[in-house]
Amino acid sequence: MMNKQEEDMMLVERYLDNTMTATEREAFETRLGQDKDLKETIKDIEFLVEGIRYSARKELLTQLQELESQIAAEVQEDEQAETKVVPLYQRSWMSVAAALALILVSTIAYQLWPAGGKGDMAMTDRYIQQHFPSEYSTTRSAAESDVATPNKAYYLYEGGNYAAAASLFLQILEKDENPDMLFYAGNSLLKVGEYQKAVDLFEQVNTRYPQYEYSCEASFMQALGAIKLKNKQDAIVKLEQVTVCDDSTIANNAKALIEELQ
Amino acid sequence: MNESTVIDKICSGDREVLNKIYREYRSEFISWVVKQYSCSQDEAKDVYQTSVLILYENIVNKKLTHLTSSVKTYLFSIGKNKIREFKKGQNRLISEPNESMFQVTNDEREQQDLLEEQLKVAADSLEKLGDPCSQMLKHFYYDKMSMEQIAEKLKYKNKETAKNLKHKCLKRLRKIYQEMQVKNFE
Repeated sequence: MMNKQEEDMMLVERYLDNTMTATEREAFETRLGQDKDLKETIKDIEFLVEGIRYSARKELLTQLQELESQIAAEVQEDEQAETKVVPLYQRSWMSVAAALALILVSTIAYQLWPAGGKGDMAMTDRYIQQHFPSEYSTTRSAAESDVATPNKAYYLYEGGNYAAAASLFLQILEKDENPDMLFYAGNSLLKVGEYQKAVDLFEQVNTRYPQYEYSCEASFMQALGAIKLKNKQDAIVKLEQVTVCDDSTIANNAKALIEELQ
Repeated sequence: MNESTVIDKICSGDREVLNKIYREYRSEFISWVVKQYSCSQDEAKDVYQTSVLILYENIVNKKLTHLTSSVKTYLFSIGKNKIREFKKGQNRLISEPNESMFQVTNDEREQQDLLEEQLKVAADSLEKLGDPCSQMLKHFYYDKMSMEQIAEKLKYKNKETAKNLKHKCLKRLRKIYQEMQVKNFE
């Protein structure tokens, strides 16, 4: 048997949940005017319902805030992925040179691309526009008068004098081989139309220095050289290697280029 | 996004559609608020979150049963009103209690703070109550889900089982609330 308190509670619930008939409702309201306990019960339940709504509302707002944080993290991740293509802000002039190399390669890719092929160059161009302002100097410490050979080579490279830059890079390589020199020599040669030499240098970068930080970029550029040499199959093989690079931007570009080639 | 689908899905307890709406209009909304009303990004995000929340509440409370415009237009119009309130410094967005129960104006801040404290006790009681009771009561009183929907969502045998459990949950909640009040009073 239900006690009065239990009975009241059920009535209050039905009253607040709007499940009473009109007659029941009328009788309940009449009783409410006279019964102190019932009044107390309805006051408690009304307040608790309000507390439930307050709590649920806060919970939903927290969920939206968490979603916002998640979206912000995704945006940041995307931005970092783009920045990572050429870590311009993390390194010194060498990084900037690498960045320019990528710009160069993208430009070359655009020029080399067969008529009618869409590629992913528009996206790359946008990316370059956004992240590599032209006033940013690769040579920071190097001036025209700088006699230190690598700096001079980078100075020429940045100034767009690729033939002279290539010549200097190759001179340095005769005495002291290092992946940077191979990489930038390859870029310079690619730009002046010495595709086979460029492809060979990029190949050296990756075979001799597999851990080189720009090995993905070197493979990408090697593929572009191969396209120019009409070695479609070689280009695809290189691009496939790039598709597994950590850097999602260059990996996606490689995927898009493979699709175009196929 | 199809407008009637949005309403139907939200009414059926699908929160995922709300996340989709949030993602879909977020960027445009925030840019619009920042540009149009000279708000900071963070302020714009707060307004957006509140606007999405109000959109949800208007749907579950059947204030919005069909849309004559798009979800986006409706959401932006909520946003516009919220920004006006925000600019007037009346943006106590989360703690607005039911207006019919508590006529609290901005001038009665002290009273509102007290009320908020009491609501927190009720909310703490709900937390102490734990799941599945807490979820059940939130679905019923906030999400406005029917007993059939709750039974389906929380995997109860039928609506009668859910109804009985809801009664027991509310009873237990009241008990916890009364105990907490006594404790706070001591």
